[in-house]
Formats: sequence, C-alpha cells, structure tokens
Amino acid sequence: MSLESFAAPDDMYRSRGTDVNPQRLLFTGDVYSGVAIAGVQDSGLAIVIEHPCTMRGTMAQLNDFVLAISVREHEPMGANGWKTRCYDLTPLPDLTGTQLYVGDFLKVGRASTSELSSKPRLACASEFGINLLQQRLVWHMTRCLIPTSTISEAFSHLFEEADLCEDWTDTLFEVGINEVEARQSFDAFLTADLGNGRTLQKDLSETQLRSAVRAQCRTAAQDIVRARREGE
Amino acid sequence: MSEIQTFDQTRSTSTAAAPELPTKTRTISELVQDIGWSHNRTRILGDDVADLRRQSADMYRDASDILLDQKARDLVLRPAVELLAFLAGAGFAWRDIARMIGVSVPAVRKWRLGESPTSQNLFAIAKTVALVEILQHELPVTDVAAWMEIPPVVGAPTNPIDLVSNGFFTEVIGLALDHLTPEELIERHVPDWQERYQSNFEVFEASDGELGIRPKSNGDH
Repeated sequence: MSLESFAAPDDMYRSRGTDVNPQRLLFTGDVYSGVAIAGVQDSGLAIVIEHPCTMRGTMAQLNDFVLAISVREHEPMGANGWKTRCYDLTPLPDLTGTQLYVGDFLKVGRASTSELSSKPRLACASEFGINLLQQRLVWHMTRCLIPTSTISEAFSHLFEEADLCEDWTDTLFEVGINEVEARQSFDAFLTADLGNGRTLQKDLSETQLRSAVRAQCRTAAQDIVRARREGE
Repeated sequence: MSEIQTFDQTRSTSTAAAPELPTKTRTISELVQDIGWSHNRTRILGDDVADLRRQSADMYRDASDILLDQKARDLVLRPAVELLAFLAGAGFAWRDIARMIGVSVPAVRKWRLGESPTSQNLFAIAKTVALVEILQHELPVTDVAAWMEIPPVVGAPTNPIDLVSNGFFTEVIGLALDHLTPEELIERHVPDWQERYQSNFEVFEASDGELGIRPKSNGDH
C-alpha cells in the first residue's frame, strides 16, 4: 500500500482563481497569497492545513490563528510520483496555469485568520484534495498511512457543513444580508436543539440524513429571504 | 454415471428426452438414470434462467437508455435554473450535482445565478434530472438523494452518485430494480475495490462528540 494521488489536477480543487466564492468560509486546503507565517515567511503563498474541527471555537467563531504551511513552485512531477516520493511536500498541480506548486510540511507555522480573511484566496481544495493533504500530513508527521476513504468517512460531514454555509450565505446575500450575519443565523439554525440533544449539525454525521438536512437548510434560507422581501 | 451421457444435453429444454414413467419395482440402475436426468434438466433450466436474466438485463438497459434519452429531451426545454432547483430540492449537494453533470462547482453556481450552460451541459443536467425522476416516480426509491449517497456495499465507499459521475446511468437504474447486485456494479466500476478500500482503521465518536480515526480493534480483523 502506498500514498494515494490524483487522477487529474482538477480532482484537487473545488475552485481556483476567479471561480473562488468569496462567501465560502475559511477552510482546510485554502490557498492564500501574501500571507505571513510566524517563523517561516513575512509574505508569500500559504495553504491552511489545520483540521476544521480545531480551527473554530464556540458559535463557529474562527480562532485567531490557524496552522499553515508555505507554498512554492516545484519542478514538474507526474501524479504517480506523489505515491512514493517527496513525503515532506503536498502537491498543488495547476494551481495557476499549468504550474506545479507544493506545500512544504517543513515550513509550518501559525497564520493570522484576520490577515487570511483580507488576502486573495487563490484556491479552495476539493474534498478529495483535503483528504489527500491530510493523508500526506499524517504520513509526514507519524509514518502512519490512513486511506483517504477512511479520512473522508470521518471528515465529510464537516465539508458538508462548509458547503451548506456557503449555500446559505449566497442565498441571504440576495437580500443584502452580510456574511457575518448570515453565518451567525446559519450556525444558530444548524445547532438548534431539536430535542434529546439532536441537532441538524449532528444529523450531518449520518449519511442517510444529509439530504434531508440540506433540504431543510435551503427551505429555511429561502424563508428568511422571503420574510426580508416582504418586510421591505 | 455413464447413463447421464446418453441424455440430450442441448440447451433446448423441449428436446430433453424424458424417462419412462416409474414402475413399481425399479432397479438401482434406473434410479441412477432418473437422478442423472433430473440433474441434467436442472442444469439446462439453470442455464436457460441465466440466459433469460442476461437477455432481460440487456433489454432493460436498452429500454432505460431510450427512456432516459426521451425524458432528457423533454426536460432540456426547461431553463437550467429550474432543473438545478429540482435537484437541489431533492436534497443533493451542489458538489454532487456538479460531479453528476461532469462540471465544476463554480460552473453550476454560475448557472444558478443566471448564466446559460452550453447545449451539451444543459443536456447533461436534463439527463441527471431524468434519472432522478425515473428513480423517484417509476421505481421504488423514496428519498433518491439519500439512496444515491449511501454506498450499497459495506467496505466500499463508491455510491450511485460516483457511478453516475462515471456515466453508469442505466446501471444505477438496474441497481434500483435489483437487476444488478451492488457487488456486480462495484466490480464494474472499481475492479480492485476489495484491495483498494482495505483499511486497518475505523471511524469512531471521540469523547468530545467529534469523529476520530483509530486502528481497528482485533475483533474486527
């Protein structure tokens, strides 16, 4: 068994360049430019490697700092090469144009979240891209090889929540509700106690319940938009 | 067992020679012959059933292709925004909708905001809607999005959304109809799935309520 790799560069990204949705919350696998990493660089490319579970505190408030690693250009390397080589790096193929970039696990440090929020976001990783990043990070740190399918099983509900939050924020933006207010209302909706400690956020951990949670979130967001329009 | 060889072993069940009706007293040799005949007939019937199953699956695949195509051609007349709203209303994630159509999430977002997809992409959206409508209204699948998200084989993360993303539309219909077993379908999609998805780790709920990963306990090996 070896580390996994991507079939095509597109597999690694949810969005790149001008396709990045500014409404999407800061997440693992986001690549920013002009970022300072304590003890590593004053300004440069960086990718967030902190696990989403630990980058936010109560009420989904971002912590002041997240773990990030420096990103730089790298000579071309085929997808299969990543299975057995360069264990201290993580690939970012075609990050801009057809240039291969890499995140360097040896150049790790804290990045300010307030600074990140004000910097250009070059890319958001796909779920597979994040899982691959996590696989390489764990391998680099511990020499423990965890299949991306297992990482996905433990991680996908968080990716789902980020997607839903983006969807919610996009919808509320139609009636001028800003990002901060939208995220607060989303968090309140998702964590509302439905009885016996059940919340929609917890339901997201169950694959068979996710479609119902999505439908409820979309309806609730539309209800907010409708109410706002009627109130105008 | 030489008696068995004397029977007609062609695939046509009608030409298999039936033994004479049993008499009150029968020899061991006659009984062996009867058993041999029954054994042969069972095998021929089994082959016929397998053939019929294959023919039926082929016919259903062709019919499903035509049905999907026909429905998609009707649906393609509707605006992309409406078709995408249908899929969202069914509970699909935007990233899964994008994968099934074969485009990026930002592309779908642009269409939702009013940009027009190419005719090829519009047909891909319509075909995905057609599949969901068929599963929802003509087959016994109640919550299509949930059904398509859940991997049908334990130990393999591949789900019907992955299959559709790779063009296995009619096979997914076959799965809903039990024309194909989940294992058969996964074998076609990922022939080495048992090896590829073998994991010595398991997901568990940690004391803080969040999920974590740990090695499988000995009992699970």
